[in-house]
Formats: sequence, C-alpha cells, structure tokens
Amino acid sequence: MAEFLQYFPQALTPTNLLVLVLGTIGGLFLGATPGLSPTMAVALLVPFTFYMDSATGLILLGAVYTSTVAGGAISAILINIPGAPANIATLLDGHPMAKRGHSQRALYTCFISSLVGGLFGMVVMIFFTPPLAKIALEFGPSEMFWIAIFGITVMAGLASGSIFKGLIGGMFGLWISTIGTSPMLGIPRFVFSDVLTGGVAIVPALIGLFAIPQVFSLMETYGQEQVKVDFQPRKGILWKTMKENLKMVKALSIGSVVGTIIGVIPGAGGQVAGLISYDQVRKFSKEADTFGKGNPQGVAAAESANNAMVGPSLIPLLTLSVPGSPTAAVLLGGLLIHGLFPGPDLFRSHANVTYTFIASLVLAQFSMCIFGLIMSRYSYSVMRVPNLEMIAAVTVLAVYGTYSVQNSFDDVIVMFSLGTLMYLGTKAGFSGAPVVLGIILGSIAEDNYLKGKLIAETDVGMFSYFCTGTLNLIIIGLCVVSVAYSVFSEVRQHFRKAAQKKG
Amino acid sequence: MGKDAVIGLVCLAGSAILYSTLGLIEEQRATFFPRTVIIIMGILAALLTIQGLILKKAAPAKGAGYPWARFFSLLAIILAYLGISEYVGFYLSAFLFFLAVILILGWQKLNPRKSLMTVVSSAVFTAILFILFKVILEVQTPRGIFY
Repeated sequence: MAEFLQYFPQALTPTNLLVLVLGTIGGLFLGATPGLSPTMAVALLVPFTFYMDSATGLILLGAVYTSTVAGGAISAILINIPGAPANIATLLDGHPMAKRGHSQRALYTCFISSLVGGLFGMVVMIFFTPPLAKIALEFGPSEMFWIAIFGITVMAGLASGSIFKGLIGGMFGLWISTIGTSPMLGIPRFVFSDVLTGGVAIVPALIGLFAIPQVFSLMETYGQEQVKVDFQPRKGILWKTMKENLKMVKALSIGSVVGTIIGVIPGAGGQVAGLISYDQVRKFSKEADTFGKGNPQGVAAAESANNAMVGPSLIPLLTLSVPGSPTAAVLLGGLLIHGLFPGPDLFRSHANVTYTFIASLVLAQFSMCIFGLIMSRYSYSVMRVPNLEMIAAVTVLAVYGTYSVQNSFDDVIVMFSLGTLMYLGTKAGFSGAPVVLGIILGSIAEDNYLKGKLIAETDVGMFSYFCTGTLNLIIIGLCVVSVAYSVFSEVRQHFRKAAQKKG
Repeated sequence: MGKDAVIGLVCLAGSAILYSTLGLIEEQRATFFPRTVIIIMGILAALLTIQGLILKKAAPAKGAGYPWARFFSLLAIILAYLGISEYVGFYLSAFLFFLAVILILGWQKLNPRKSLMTVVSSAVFTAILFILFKVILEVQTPRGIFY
C-alpha cells in the first residue's frame, strides 16, 4: 500500500493523464462499436506504446482495457448486441429497459455500477498482488515451464468452445514461437521463407490474430439490419439514477464481490462474473419476476461484476504470467515488449512502472465513469460508424501498427498471413487467444524446459525434476483440473442439448 | 462424419506435415522442443477426430449463405493494398485502399453524395494517419514514388 501511495502522483503527470483520458474515450468508443472486441482494441494499440515510456504505454493499455468492458454495455443496451462477452448479462435487463424508453437510465446505471465494482476490484488487487508475487520467487525452471503450460490450458478452456481445439491452438502457438533461431543452439528452424528469418514477433502476431479476423467478420455482417430502440436524451435523469443506484446496495455488493472472486480465478472471465452475479442478485431479490423485463438491478449486478473483475484478473497475470482473459493475454504481450516480466521483479526493480500502472487503473475507473456518463447522451451516434469504414480503418491501422514497430514490411506479411489463417480457424471453431498465448509463453516454456533438462540430466533425472516436488505437483494438478473441467463441461453441455432436443 | 472429425483430420495432416519438416533442421538437438509440441498437437488432433466421431453435433440451421463474393473482393483489395503500398507510398496507398473498400464493397448503396463523402472521409482518414504516424510518432514509412 505504501508503494502504491508513493507512486500514485506519477500517474497524475499531464502526459499520463492525457493518455488516460484519450485511452478511456477511445476504449469507450471501441467498446460501444458492435463488432470490435476489447481484445482487438488493446492489440491494435500495443505498437503505439512503443513510442511511449513503459508506464505511459501501460496506462494507455490499462485505460482501454477498463473502458472497453464498460463501453460494451452501450451496444448491449441499445441494440441488444453485447460489445464484449463480459456484457452478455447486461443485455438481459438493459435492452428491455431501452425498449421501454429508459435507455438513458440504463446507461447511467451501467456506468455508475461499473465504477463501484471497478473500485472494489482495484482495492483487492492493490492489497493482494504484491504478496502473491513473492510466491513466484520459489519458482525454478520446472515450475516456470509448468506455469507456461498452465496459462495455455486455462486459455484453451476459456476461449474456445472445444477444449481440444483450444489446446491445438495453444500448441500451434508454441510451434510458431519456435520459428526462427533456436535460443540455445542458434540453429534456424522452420524458416521456410526469408520473411520468417527473425521468427514471429509478438506485435504482428497480436494484431494479425485479433484484428484481421475481425475485419473479415465485419465484412460478413455488412448490410445486416440492427435492432433499434427509440433514444431521446432527456435532462435530469442522471441525478435520479444516482439516487436510485444508492438504494441498490445489495445488487452492487453482490456484483462487486462475485466479480472480484471470479476475476482472481484464471480463465473464468467477465461473462461468467456477470452471469453469476446477475443470477445471485435475482435469487436474492423480492422482485425476481421483474428480472429480464427491464429491472435496473439486473444491469447494476452485471456491470458491477464485470468491472470488478478487471483489477483482480490482473493478479495472476502480474504475479505468475497467467492471464485471466484474452485481453489480459494481450496485455501480457504489452508488458513483455517493454521488457517487463511478471513476477516479484515487477514489484521491486520496476516498482515505479508497475505501481504507476496500478494507480492509473484506479483513475481509469473514475475516468471511465465520467466520460461514459457524458458519452451516454451521444452513444447512438457512436454506433452509427458504418462497417465498411471500420473495415478500412482497422486494416490500415493494423498495417501501420505492425510496420511501425520494426520498420519491417516482412512483419506486415506475417501479420496478414497469420490473421487470414486465424479467420479460417475461427470458422472451424478455433480462437486466437490460445494461439497468442502459445506464441507469448513459447519462449518461456522452451527456455525453462531446456534449462530444466540440463539440470535434470546432471541431477535427479527428467521425471523427478519436472514431475515431483510440491509446487510442480500443484501446478500440474491445476493443469489437469483445468482440462478435466473443460472436458466435463463440454460433455455435460452436449448431453443437455441432446436431452433438450428429445424433450 | 461430424464437422469436428474433419477438422481433427485436417489438424492431424497439418501436424504430420510439420513433423516431416523437422528433418530439414541441421542440428537435431534443436528439434527437441518443437518435436514434442508437434507430437502433442497430433495427439490432440486425433482426440478431436475421435470426439467428432462420438459426439456428433447437430447441423446448424441454414441461414443466409456465406458472402463469398464479398470475401474474395475484400481479400483481393487487401492483397492489392499490401502489394502497392511499398511502391506508391504508405499514405497514398492507405487513401486508395479506404476508397476502394467503400466503393467496391458498398457499390450497391452508392450515389453521387455518398461517393463524394467517401472521397472526403478517405482524405480525412489519411490526414489523421499522417499526423499521427509522421508528425507525432515520426515513423519512417516507405515513401514510394508518390510519397
């Protein structure tokens, strides 16, 4: 806490505040635009952080991460399309409210409850992250290897409908990370073209895997009619909604606590947080039958939960390099390209950057709420950006962003090739997040695997070194539980669907 | 055969092709990690195939067909954009790309006013790019023959 307070003023420098505000506005805009995911928004911005100092760059990414989650509620409420998976629960009551002519009230409730939940999550993050990071001090090569594998198994279960597809994606990412020169022997591997001589860098992979499939998806939905509601901004609604929110103590408390707990669990994600919180608030409510028909408590429950999840989802990321969501995986890429590796070192050697970043995330909650409330009045115009303009803008930004990192056109070719392949992959049910995580964690996994192998061969042998010891067994156990749970959920869902079909 | 079974077989074939390329690497000690990864990928692909054969999913309801013409048009425009950008310069090619996407893919909704607006919005977008990348970030982009 002392360090947090010590570095807090650094987040308040004019440059950092400007970046924070721009990131928030941009994030709200991108979150509100149907078809643009928060993950893609953060991925597209990673190259821009190259031109900033590490703290400022991370502030930009953090502000965008925070505000895209809240911004996604705008399209959920107004046009019944969640801007991000985290906003699925928001539309259950948000859109019925909008249909009854209470769009503005629903949007204000959304941003006020996002602030409450977000701040709660941040407090938990500030208190728990540094002590947990110290656990990573105990980690040797074998534990680090298993942590990398754990990260991939978590993302595989989270991001794909099928655990096998998720794991294949993760393995494909690990394979991509081996393209280029071998780290130990300096031998070229899988260099099928000159373009691949330097391997596949993180930024082209991030942008390609998240932006290009989105471009083609926008092309698919071009010309489709959206559900529209009447939206006429009126004065005096804000104060009324604020008073109403003060009375929603139960919904906001349940949302904040559920979101925080779910956020800490790697892989659970914002959509789970929103839906569980919504369900719990409905169960505890005396007006349970009004949920789903436009009860503002439903919006408050979902939005406080999905924003409470943001801070805690960074706890496993900053301490163990295990991201809690696909967007957090992209954020991990942002940390690594600035030379910041998750773990205790982040809170000692890079304390100024890390704590400034955490302080900015607290400020981002306020800025998200303020600009969200302002933007609510104009949100309908925000969503009118046509698909074709969006396709052109995203593609050009992807090309420029990729090129600008190393001034290399080869990177652009890699970015576009990976992106097109990923788009075809998404058609077959694959997701970009495990692939990206495989690419990011690939070098960590291989380096530690080879280091561990050297130690094991001169000491206790491969099996004893990698598969025994308390920490190794705990992490292996977590990997097994993560995969087993995903397989179980998938099989259960299959039989449930089959039963529904028969019934 | 279910869709997942076919996807599994394609992944299995991909793993086999990648495995065969391991022989091209000069020093076999450098193949240890990627070999392990490819073998695991192959096993997972086999498991996906088996899962696809056992748990057959219901065929999705037939909706509107996939917009193949639009897909190939967009792909061609992007490839042309990437092909010319180094030669005509990043900024001019971005302007032309922006224009081409809207005029070619959205031709059905075009009218004189919309066409003029497209030219203006393309020019504004290119100007923003120039200010952001050239003036603020000072990125050295290929100038090409037209800057």
